[in-house]
Amino acid sequence: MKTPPLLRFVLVRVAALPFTILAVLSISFLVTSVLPVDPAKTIAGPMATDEVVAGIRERLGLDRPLVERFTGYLGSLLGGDLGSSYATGQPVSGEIAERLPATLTLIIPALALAAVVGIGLGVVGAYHAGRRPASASGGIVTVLQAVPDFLLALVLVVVFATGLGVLPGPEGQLSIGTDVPPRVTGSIPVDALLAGQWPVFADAVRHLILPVLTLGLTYSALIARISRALLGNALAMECVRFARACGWSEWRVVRGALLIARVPLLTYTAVLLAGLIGGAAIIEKVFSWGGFGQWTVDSMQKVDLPVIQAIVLFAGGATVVVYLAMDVLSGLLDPRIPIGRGKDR
Amino acid sequence: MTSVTHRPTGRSSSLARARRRARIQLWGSVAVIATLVLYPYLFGWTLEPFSTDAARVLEPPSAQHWFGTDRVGADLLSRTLWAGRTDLPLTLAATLLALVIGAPFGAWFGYSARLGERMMRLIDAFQALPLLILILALVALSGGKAYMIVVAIVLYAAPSFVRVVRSEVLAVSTARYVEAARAYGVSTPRILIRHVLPNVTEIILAQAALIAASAFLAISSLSFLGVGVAPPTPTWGGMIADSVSALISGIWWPTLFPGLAVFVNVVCFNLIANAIRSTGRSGELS
Repeated sequence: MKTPPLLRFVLVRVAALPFTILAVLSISFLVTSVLPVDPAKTIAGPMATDEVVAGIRERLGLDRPLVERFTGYLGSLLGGDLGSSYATGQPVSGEIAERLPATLTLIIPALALAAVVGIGLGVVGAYHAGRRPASASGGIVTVLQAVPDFLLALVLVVVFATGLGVLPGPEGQLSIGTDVPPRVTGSIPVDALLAGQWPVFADAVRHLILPVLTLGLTYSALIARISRALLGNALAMECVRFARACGWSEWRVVRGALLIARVPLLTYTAVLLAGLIGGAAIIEKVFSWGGFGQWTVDSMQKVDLPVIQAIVLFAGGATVVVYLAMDVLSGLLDPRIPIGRGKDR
Repeated sequence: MTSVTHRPTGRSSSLARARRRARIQLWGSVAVIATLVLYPYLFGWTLEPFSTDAARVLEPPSAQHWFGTDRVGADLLSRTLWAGRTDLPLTLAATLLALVIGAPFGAWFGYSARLGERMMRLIDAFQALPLLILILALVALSGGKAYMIVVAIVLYAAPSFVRVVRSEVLAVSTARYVEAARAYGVSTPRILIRHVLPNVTEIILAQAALIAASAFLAISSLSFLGVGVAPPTPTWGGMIADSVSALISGIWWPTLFPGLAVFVNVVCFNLIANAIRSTGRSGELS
């Protein structure tokens, strides 16, 4: 009980978590139900007669009133049931648990790469503001930002897989015919390490390189923009001038400026992490990764309603949890943030 | 609010040069985008995006087909230009609609700070939704209807307009001249329109260009995934998705040209945003 206000803050936020998730749930349910989209019609296809559409609507329970559907959905959620996929009949919660590790294996290294490259570009841009290195870094950021991730993925595959042949193409997480290591964490490289299967580990890492590079470079542009702005502000502060007057080396000054900017930088990275859980969907699809994102896209194309709802709920919930963790962490890192009150820019 | 006329000459000339460069950037980018939007409408008769020919499948660029042909033998130049008819109007419509919906709420929440504070929490909750997934879901559930793409993008973009407009209005509405107008008994809508709006226009337009860039990327991603606009209509994302199998065997032209189109558009939107910010009154901010 060394810091009671902080502890109380954390407890209050954790207690509020179910309500926030309920809000996310209600909004996502409303948005997918109120808007003029008729999933029954989409499932039936453009040639279907009205009776077929009505039949599908009845089978899915879409003919019942909105309130009844919502309470029914809430009731089964409280019982821990996320529903079952129309396509496979499997319970959705099991499928999430099965696919999430693959996505995390992809996005955590990608985000680390994005942070390193992005902060590097941002430091160059802010430190050399108005000079040639800054415009070079700005140019790189503009290009990275303008290349859509799927195009970058294709270019990388063509250059490194089909062109130079040094890395595997978009064939998933392992070479075809390689046995998956015994499942412990669900993340293939980690499992291979745990099982001591070095060739499998090396193969998994080789398959990781291109998708991680794609996501990392795409997201580094976002981090570069924000870190250039934050560092620019930090370097303009009085304390930086004082530090220079005290004879700090420029390297140490930059590190100090990074320390000043660390809280918003971390927050922004967390926002990106939350976004990447679903945002990696396109890249997963391109590389046939088989994780959460690819499953999302596939279910969308099959109009698999329970899966779609569960995915929206899960990704929303994950976002809320990441934000909460971030709030607590920034409270710990920055004593100026008044804990227990909303902070607004 | 007129700028100071007597500046030290050196600084003034470099400032003038920077402004001239920004103006060229701005109007150059606007011209590129306008050309891409208008060309298929004005000169559509020169294009043959839908005529296929099995005898000229995947031909490399030549004098007859400047961009080559795709895997069903359609002229890639025609298809690349024709796609501007779909992708860009959708982007512009979505951005404009989001602006029209988001900006008044932003102004309202910024001006009456108490209410705004609470409403921003609601918007926080909304933006915590996995928006890309939600957009995908909406568009897929509607079967790729164009209006649904616009609605989905508006859902994603309008809250960021509310946020930006609110923070700008919040900053401006503490200014002395607003206080003076209020003391004078001017009504709130009139203050917002006559005194606050003119001072936040530039930053909102810059934000609109940035949002247009991300809306454009989202629309391209949707059509790349095949849940956006349906295939016979050319879209840049759809053309890229269609070219993947050829690309793997080293045939680069069906991918390069739509890819270049996407790239050029995003760069133009970003340049517009930068140019507006650096020529504007608030140019010193960034």
